Amino acid sequence: MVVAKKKSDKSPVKHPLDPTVMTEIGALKAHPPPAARFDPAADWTAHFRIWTCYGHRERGNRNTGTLRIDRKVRPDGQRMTVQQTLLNSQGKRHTIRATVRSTTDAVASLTEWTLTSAFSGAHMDGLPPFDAEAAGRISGTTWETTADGARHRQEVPSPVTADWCLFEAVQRLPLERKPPLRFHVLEGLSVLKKDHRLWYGGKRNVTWGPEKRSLHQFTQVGRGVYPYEYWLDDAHRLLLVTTGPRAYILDPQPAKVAGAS
Amino acid sequence: MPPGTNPPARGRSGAGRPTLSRRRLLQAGVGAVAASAVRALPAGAGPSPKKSGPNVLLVMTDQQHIATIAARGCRHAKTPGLDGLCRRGVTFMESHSTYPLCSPARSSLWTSRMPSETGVYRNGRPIHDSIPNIGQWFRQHTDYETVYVGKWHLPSSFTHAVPGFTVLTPGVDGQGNLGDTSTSLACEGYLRRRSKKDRPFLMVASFFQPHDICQWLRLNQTDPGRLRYGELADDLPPLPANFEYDRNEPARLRTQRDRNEPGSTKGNWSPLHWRYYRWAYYRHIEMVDAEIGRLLNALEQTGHAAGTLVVFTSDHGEGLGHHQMVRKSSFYDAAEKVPMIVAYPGHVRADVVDADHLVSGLDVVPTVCDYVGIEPPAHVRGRSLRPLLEGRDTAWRTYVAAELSDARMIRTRRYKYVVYRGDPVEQLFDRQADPGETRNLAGQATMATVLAEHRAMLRQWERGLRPAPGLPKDTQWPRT
Repeated sequence: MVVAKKKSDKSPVKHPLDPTVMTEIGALKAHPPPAARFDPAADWTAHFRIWTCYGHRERGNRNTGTLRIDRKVRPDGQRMTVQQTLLNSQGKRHTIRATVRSTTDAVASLTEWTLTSAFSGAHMDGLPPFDAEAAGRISGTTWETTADGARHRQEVPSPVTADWCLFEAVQRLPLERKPPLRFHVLEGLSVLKKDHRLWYGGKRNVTWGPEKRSLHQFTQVGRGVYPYEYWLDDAHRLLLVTTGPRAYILDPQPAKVAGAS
Repeated sequence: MPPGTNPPARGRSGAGRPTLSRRRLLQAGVGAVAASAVRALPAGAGPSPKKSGPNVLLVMTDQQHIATIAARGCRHAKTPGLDGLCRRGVTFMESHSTYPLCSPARSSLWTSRMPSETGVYRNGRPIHDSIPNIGQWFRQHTDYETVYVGKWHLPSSFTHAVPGFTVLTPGVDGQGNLGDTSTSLACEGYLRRRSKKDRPFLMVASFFQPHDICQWLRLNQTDPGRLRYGELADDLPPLPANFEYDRNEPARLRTQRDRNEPGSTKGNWSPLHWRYYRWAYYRHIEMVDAEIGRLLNALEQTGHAAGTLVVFTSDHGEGLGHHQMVRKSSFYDAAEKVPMIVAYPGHVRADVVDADHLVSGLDVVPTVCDYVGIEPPAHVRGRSLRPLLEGRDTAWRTYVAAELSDARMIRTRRYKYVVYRGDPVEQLFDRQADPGETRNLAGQATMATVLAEHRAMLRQWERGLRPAPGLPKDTQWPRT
């Protein structure tokens, strides 16, 4: 008797995430955000949904959180407020809030920030306190953080930006090939990851939901991260960031991710 | 009170105001969080005097190759977090997983029993009710707060139901690249919010990286025929020296190789794509190292470092291209060896490499119990590392054993012996002459005595185990 081999209900994606692959596996179903006037040098607010992929086409892929960035221009640079909510397992939420001051140089170099980490949602009853907060600043090559009233200093190379700041900075960069920008990243405004490069990779024809689009792409590589690919429209507006198994998708109708508002 | 120990708990907080103590909070948490999770402890484990000793921080990663720490010779990743821990403690270079797969190995780490004893003979099984994990044991025999953060996987991976522990957060399901940040920030917050008057803690920080390499493999299965980012050409690590493999190795290994990503698409990966995979793995290592660094910095900045025993290890390794393998589930060094670092300032030797002694995930529970001053649970298979950590002479074990559901391994100081169920091809490697495990000596007549000795060691080891009730028969095949 010949026994038919059971067909697997999961198949590997096989290719790194980009708009076309994400469309194939159902992460980008709607039209991309319509072309709009956008001035990356002005004030703006952007909402992203954080989407993650387990590597299979059929399952394990989902919205895992949200990211909101408000950018306001200041005489001495810019100020951003950031709120990122990650859906931890079993209904717990992890919200990170930050205020960031940075320059408006090519990589939005950090100058000063505050940061809070708070957990909420399910399974909180009876837990000991474990929220955290900190503040920090970079002056020259000195990185100073304050937590629980205690100050800690260490030397850092220059320039230092943050992952969230790069979401802003990349929108101000010229859409043309140039030598890579070199910098260091204070990821989440708290862990230093050195030796990063960012370059413009050109314009790519992609599929986004039901549409064919041509998007500009920047790539970032460096210590301690997956390569980041930033996808922008002709107005320099950041529509999508793909990095390893996760993506940040510009969300014109925010707060749709259950529990992540 | 000896240095580095914590004062006993008091029911007041810093300013002397009567408050709901952390102990009460945690006790409430036990009821609320773990009512369905805490199972009956084994018979005979009755009440005993509560002990207080050093804080204990157990840090683990998932799928970390042993040779991934810059301070211990890795040239392809920057690991300032683990480098700092190496400087403060003893790094074991002959550290072995009991079972190179997630759940079974974890069951050994938290119980000091072999997976065939815990009943965790594959992923997603619970530890048998008769065997306490370290959290349950501490709650019964010590005054410690027992706190768990991150991946569990016995049986559920990301859950608040971890017997014997209060879970701060399980992290993000299946995504170490995001969830490990939640894990380290929760640990940091816990440490920063502690009062010096709190009871000592046993905290497990269980990170999910570099396991995300499994997602990477699925997302990069197709070799594009060129380097995806040409700018990385000068950054790629070389192929490992033992990239080639023995064409006559046991059939199960060949099957496993063929089914994994590099061989399962159109032809095998090119050397360039293999090197890109290795480059990507080291970035995963740096991701988790950054989170570990955050945790260890918080330990230092909050003044806890001097009074905390820190143990770092992983559940299993990663193929990383050795023998053209990816992932785990083999007994080649890449998959079965794991990092093991123990630090306890003033108590454990600092910046020491121990490349001589064979240690195992089984040794974590006995070591922790030894430093805390309690007996380990009955029938533990591991030994306290304390004499090795403190540089004292001791008679040490001559071999370590490891299991897979269809295979067994015996590792002595010189040789590694591997046998697969029903496969006539055994493996015997001379680890001194052939550290890359490229020449199988099992068929050589001159090695017959060595082979027989290792078979005998395996039989001896197997006879000493107490298999969990209900184990499938085909997982118990060598036992006679």
